[in-house]
Amino acid sequence: MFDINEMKKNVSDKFSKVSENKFEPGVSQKKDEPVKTTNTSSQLASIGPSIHFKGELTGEEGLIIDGRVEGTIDLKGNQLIIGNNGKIKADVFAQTIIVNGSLTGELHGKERVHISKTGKVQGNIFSPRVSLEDGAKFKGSIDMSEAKHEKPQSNLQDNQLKRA
Amino acid sequence: MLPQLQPALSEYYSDNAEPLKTRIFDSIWQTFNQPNSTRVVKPKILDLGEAQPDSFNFYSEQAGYLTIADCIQPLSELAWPEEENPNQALEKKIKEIIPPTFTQYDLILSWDSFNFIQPKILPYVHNHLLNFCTNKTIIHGFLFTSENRPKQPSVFKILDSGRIKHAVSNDESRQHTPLTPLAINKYLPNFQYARSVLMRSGLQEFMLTRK
Repeated sequence: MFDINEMKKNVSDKFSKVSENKFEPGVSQKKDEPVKTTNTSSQLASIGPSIHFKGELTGEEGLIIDGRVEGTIDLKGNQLIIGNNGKIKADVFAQTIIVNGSLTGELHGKERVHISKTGKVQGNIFSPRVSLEDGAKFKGSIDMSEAKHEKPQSNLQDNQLKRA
Repeated sequence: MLPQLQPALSEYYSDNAEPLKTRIFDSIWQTFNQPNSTRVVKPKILDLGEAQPDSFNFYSEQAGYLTIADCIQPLSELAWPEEENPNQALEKKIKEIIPPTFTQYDLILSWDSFNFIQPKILPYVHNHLLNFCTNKTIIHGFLFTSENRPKQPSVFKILDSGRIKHAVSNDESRQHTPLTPLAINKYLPNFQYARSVLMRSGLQEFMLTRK
């Protein structure tokens, strides 16, 4: 029988290391200021290693991705963790983005983007705070000044705004 | 007769080595931060090297926009193409290594990189870099001008505007025909040589400005 509590416990155990260890202060991060995790891992939804998702992924809760996602991810004011096995080809919008796996695309972190030592990012980062751990791979641009952290509205909404 | 001693390169390989005191990099930053500067206060920076976590505190406070091109390794591996039209093939390969953007940069950091690119390929890199330049773009660089240099491009970490830490990941060195900043400048004709400072063991800090 499918037991949601058992599944949450498994997810919690599996990612407890991620949430506890991977957010240790990186070299570029002040030691007394670890990356804040707004949710514990048991509160985060998860996409497992065998899942391959294509399309627009939206949600209003934190998410851990250990599978493959292609398209767009919009978590609004929530946290996104790319697990060690996660492979993302997407533009990502979230409050905090933590990359332990690989990601190609644009990262819009309203509060912070952190790339851990196992993380590999190719693309552009828009966030007021960006930190990398030793060993992290990054190729692309970082804009720490401009407020481009929200997902742009659809063309229809844009046109309505222009008319108004 | 005692064998001639090689310059003590080991100091470069230690992460604990005394940080370099950079006169030129420091003065570039002072120019950016002058209250009445005609330049932007937070410059747009194109770093040709790989991402250095230690430098991010500095960049996050000082830079408006930063691009990590991480292109030294692939550019150093570029050989003269054997295709019928080598110029076109080379331009295409360089474009793949440094994808064009609409951004024009105030400062290009070329730290221990021009030494690793074949001189005959340098003009093509120069032509491509012009797409990223304003008419005031500065190139700041480091070059090893002694006969021995690290086998791999060195790693430089910015501590603050006046101090840069220098470390590399291997212990090997190789002999090479040293190119001075002036010699490098010949391959980059749209820039003019502005200054250079000789630092320890043949490492030169230099600055080129846009003509």
